[in-house]
Amino acid sequence: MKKIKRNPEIVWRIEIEEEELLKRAGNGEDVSEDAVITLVIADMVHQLNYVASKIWMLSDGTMGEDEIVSKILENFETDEKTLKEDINFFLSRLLKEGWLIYDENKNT
Amino acid sequence: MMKTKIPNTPLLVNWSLSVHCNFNCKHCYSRLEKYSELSTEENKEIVKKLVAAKIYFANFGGGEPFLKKDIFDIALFARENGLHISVSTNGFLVDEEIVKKVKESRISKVEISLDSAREEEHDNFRNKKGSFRKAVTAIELLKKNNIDVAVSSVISKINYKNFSELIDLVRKLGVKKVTFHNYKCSGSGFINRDELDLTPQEWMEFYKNILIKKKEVSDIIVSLDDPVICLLKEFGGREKTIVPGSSCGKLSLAIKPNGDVTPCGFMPVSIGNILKEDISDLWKNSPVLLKLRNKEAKGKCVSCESYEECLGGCSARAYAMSGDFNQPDPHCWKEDDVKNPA
Repeated sequence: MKKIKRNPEIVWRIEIEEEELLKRAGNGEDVSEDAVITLVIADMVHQLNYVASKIWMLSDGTMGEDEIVSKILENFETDEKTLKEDINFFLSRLLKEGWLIYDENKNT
Repeated sequence: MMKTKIPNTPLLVNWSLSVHCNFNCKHCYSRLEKYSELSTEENKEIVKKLVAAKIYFANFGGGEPFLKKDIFDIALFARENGLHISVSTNGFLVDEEIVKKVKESRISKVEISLDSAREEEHDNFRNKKGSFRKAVTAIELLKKNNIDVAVSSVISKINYKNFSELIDLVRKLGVKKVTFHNYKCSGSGFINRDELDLTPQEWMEFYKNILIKKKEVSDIIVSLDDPVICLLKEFGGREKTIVPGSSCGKLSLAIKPNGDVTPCGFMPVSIGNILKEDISDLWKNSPVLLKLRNKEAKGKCVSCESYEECLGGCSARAYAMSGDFNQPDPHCWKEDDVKNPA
């Protein structure tokens, strides 16, 4: 399977470190829709929530689509089928937009 | 729905390296400003501070940026350190040599001021004969050299009825983005506002017409940056943004030639100096920025159903006209519901 990586042309930054986010979540705060990562693409600002940010961070060229999905599923106690569909949808959308790309040099 | 949250530091800084200019535009916000200028090394120090604060985009404005002799040295240093530089210019000085330097210094985008497709209108507004020809030539040269070019246009009495012609010209020149900026009543723009600024009704008509046009145009990005557009929901309203109201002090800051930091270029209120203070600290704790992010509705804004989205419109314009950025944007055409109940 082809590995997925972030498009190196895209400028992005982390707004909230995972440790801080998890600490706040541990205190009962709903952090599921906090903007964790900001991307700037063609003068447009996009923000990613926690799950989307996890996918973004995992897309470092070491994993394929299925591996990313499995990794995310390990971390979330929720309906597996729905989450899997959401992750696949998100990945395919970002691949279509070119924000994520297949690393042609790396295959499983 | 993603929670709206102010980023940890600005996403963009609008950076004026100098207020010197080869033009004398009637609407210019900076011509009357006087600042000492920093050395190349001091400007590079600013670059380091921006990158350390994870700020990755800066736009060199002015004044005319290409008059600044060390601009390319600073731009290359910035790019090598991870700061992406764009330049807003009148294009008058752009020739083969400048284009070569733009490429060598890895400037990512050049935005050329072009206010009308009619040569005389543009030259009259820019107060410079030949400026239209030079701007068009600059765009052609930059395009020829595969440099990302955008067009920037200030809306005034002179051009507000002819925007479609400008979009056509932009298309003909092969440019993919045109931004129509609302008129700011700062500097010379304040002095000449009666001659150049539109009335609130004219602004409404302009925005209605351009929103209709925008829907028809699919090959060019037509960008409008005015929060009051959210009053025109039936015409599509304001483009999706991550913060309500104006973005100044929420997504961006401005830096003056001496390093002073202001919420935006059009609001002459210094919140500190980047060389003397920590930019992240200013961003988080400046009382001025905190007030801008927590505006209080005043006047007709109190009863306006669009306030949550518009937040009183352009804070710089309200500040310039009333000295209080909580006052309604003077461009707003909405009737005061309290004074004028339906």
